[in-house]
Amino acid sequence: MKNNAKNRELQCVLRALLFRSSISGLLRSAATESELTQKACEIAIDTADYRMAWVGLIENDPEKTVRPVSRAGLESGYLDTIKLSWADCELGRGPTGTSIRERRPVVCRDFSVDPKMNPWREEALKRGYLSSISLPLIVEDKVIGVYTLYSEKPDLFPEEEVSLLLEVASDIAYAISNLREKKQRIMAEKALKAAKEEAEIANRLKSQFLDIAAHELRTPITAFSLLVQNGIKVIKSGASIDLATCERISTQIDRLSSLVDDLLNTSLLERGIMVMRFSPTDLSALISESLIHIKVEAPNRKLIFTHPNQPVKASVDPIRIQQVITNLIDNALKYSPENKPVEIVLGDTPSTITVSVTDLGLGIPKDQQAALFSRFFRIQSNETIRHPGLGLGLFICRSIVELHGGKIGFKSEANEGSTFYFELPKGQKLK
Amino acid sequence: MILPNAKTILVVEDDKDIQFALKMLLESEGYIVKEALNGSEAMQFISTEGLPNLILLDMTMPIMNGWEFAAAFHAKYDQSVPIIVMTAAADAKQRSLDVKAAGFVAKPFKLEDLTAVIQKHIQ
Repeated sequence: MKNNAKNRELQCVLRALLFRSSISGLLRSAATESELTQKACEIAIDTADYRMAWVGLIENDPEKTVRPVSRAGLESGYLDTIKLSWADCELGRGPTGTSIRERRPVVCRDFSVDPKMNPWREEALKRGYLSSISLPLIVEDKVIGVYTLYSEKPDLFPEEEVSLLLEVASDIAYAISNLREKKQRIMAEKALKAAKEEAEIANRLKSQFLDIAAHELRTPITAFSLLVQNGIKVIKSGASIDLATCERISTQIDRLSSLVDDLLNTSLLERGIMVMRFSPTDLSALISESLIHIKVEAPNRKLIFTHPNQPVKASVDPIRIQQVITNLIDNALKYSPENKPVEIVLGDTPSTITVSVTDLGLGIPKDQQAALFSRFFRIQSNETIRHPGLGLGLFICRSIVELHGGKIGFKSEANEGSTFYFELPKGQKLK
Repeated sequence: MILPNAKTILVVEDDKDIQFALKMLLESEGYIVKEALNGSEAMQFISTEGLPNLILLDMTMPIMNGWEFAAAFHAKYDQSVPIIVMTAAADAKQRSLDVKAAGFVAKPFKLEDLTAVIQKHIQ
């Protein structure tokens, strides 16, 4: 009898030794953490003849769950039927939870009598598990999970086997730690690469922007300068310049100042120093006022404004919001045919105000929609007139709306037109 | 005052105010000025009205830009009609070389510079 027990012990140590010697190579070849933990379980079954093996990782949720990630051997749904925790509660006081909490191997020599196994006994015995060892997986002094092996015989796991299995667990933990480090390194490299690419794109856009800005500024300057040089010539010859020429000069100056305003606004926004001066404002009156100015510039265009009968009050920066409204209406006029109306709708709900501007133009090509609000972005199309601009208008609109705690967006269908809208919270929200 | 033997300049420029000022200026210098708002209009003008004595060409235009126009023009017509490039870009000279232009003016330009280039190259 004594000899028999000795024999069994010896067998246990032998299988653990075999297990120990075969595991490190296999662990090294695993490419991912899940492949690694799966291999760790399978080797236990294939080389060491345990009945079942599983690896669980600890979660930091309120229940302190132990989440099984890999399993091998005769398992038949065991891990799905039981619930495991590493908290100091009944479910956590079993071998698994204790091993994690106390950072030591926990051996359960006989499931049929061990009180630690009360919550799981029935399911374990059904599957012929009679003894087990739970080994903590420790990475850099932190328990990250548990490795548990089951045997169909009671009274196993002698001391020598336990110390060999501790080495196995430490190998697994070390391999996990290596893979995690590698993954982190790869992710850091990826992030670095992405940041570099992003910086390159930003840089390219910026230098393109300088070209565009120079071009866009020089065009009105050229027109302006030619008109003035012409005027000088005319006056020198004894004639006088006409009103139309003066108006043309004035248009060029407006064009120049609006470009310079865009540049200045972008600079303020980029440095985060554009200040919003909030005051109670009637949006209905604000939009009507914008429309008066726009009608002077575009007397032949039809503008339809729909709004609630009563004033629509909100705390906004009236100058900035008017700038957004004017910009959206200008765009709608620019990108839709002369004979098509532009519709402006002001909506009022208890908490928000919405303004939408709808045109019946060509719509925005699908592939260009994503970049629409980006700085320096200009729409590419086969337009028949080249629209001057720096690609800053919508970027400025979005920034102003966001500084009000609001949202801006659009819907667009090819050949049907576009609707640009923004939504503002009624209460003042500083961002 | 336009003389009977006045030379014709075709101004290809999409900015209507620049177009307007150039027309006034060049007419006061005694040239006949024809206007096209892009390369395609310019090609159409030439095919119906014949070759001008000089072409003033903007580069950035919709529909058919300066590069496309110059290529189409040189492929189809007399290489000896001088093209003068007007551009707001930083590399005005390079652009004029790109399109085998006779000369260039960088926007914004002085009237005298433009008339000097025109007088030098016009046939």
